[in-house]
Amino acid sequence: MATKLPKVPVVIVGMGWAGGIVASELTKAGVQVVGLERGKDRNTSDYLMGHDELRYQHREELMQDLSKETITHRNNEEMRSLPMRDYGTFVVGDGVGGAGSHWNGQTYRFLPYDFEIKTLTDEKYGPNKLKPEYTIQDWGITYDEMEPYYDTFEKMAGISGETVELYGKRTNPYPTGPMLKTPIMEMFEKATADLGYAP
Amino acid sequence: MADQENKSGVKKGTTRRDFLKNSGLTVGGVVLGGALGSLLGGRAEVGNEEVTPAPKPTANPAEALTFFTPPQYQLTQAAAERIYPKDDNGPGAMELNAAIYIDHQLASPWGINAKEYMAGPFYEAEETQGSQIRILRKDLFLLGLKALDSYSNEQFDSKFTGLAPEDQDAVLTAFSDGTAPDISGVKSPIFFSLLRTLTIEGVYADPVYGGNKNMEGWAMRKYPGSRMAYIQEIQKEDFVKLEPQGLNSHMGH
Repeated sequence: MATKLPKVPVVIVGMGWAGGIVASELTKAGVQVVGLERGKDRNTSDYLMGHDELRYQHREELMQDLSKETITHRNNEEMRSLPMRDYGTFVVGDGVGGAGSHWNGQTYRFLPYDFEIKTLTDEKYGPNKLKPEYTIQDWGITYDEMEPYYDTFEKMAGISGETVELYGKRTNPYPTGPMLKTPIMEMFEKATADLGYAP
Repeated sequence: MADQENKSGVKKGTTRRDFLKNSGLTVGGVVLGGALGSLLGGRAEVGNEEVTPAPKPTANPAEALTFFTPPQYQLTQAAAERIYPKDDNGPGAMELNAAIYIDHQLASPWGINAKEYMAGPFYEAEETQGSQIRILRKDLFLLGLKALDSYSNEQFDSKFTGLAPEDQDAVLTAFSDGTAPDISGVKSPIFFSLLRTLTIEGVYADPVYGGNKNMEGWAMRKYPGSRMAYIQEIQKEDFVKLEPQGLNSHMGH
């Protein structure tokens, strides 16, 4: 006999970055949300064991158990689509956090150019540069419209970085300063600066 | 049952006597002494019972076989040692217990492809579609070991462990480049790749997994092992030598 739980106005399937942010914003606005996620819950103590390279890097313990379910793939319609039986370069996250629980944590903002790639390519290189068979187009939103949300996200996640003049304009600097520089990094920076490269 | 000998004088097959003698073999191939040894024609002293002392049990209780039989272990050891031999830099796969690592890995859930999608149907795959092998990893490995011996016997009239190192290399090369026959429908380079990967892992994985004995694999590369952070060292100008440490140093319990 199934237990019937009280109804809620919003159910979100998937508690990764996307589902998590939507749930967070809705609950802050006073809306009740149930979030559904396959796999186990996680907390800080789970990550204390993360230094076991064989277990996490090679045997991919954070990832989905493919024996239960996997994707199939093929490169084109002539091929037979076959199951991904074992992990290669593409790994599927699992549990609360989704892919966010094993992400690399690099959160560069897209450049203003990326949002209007068709318009700005035509502007810079002329209207005939992109052949007719190219399907690229503008996103429909601009970097300037996105900027306040980048700002909010970076503050929420405490993103670390330094302002680079060449990139899109920033309302605020990164909430956390840049990473410490190793001697090798400093050597690299000096070499590229001496060669006249920027940033 | 008489020993069968071929033209080159190498014994093929085993007799009951061989089995009884070999059943006293430890993992390292040393015959246990004591009463058993004297029963089989060793030093049986009447009255004055001279007991050959048994070899000291190894300090590490995890250094025991959980999957391989002794011959399978010895063959794996020999093949691994050719892939990662002892040289001027230091110990090879044998001394580093790579074969113990491989034994434990094949006995683990990974050995039976526990977290892989193993349901059929199975089809021939293109290069880009990943492995579509239906047999379990542990079985592929054991079949591969048999194949190494078959191929060695065919080419050199001896099982693999009886060959000189150069001939062992020739056998392994044949597996690596696909000259050797398929193993139960699986191309021989796939088995070789599995063997090679396990050997390298066996030399460099954390010692908790059975290999990288005394962390000497890491020591040869000046690798500091498993550390929570490098905050004290990361900005130093000069090379900082850190003695290797294993997971037991900070994830012991």
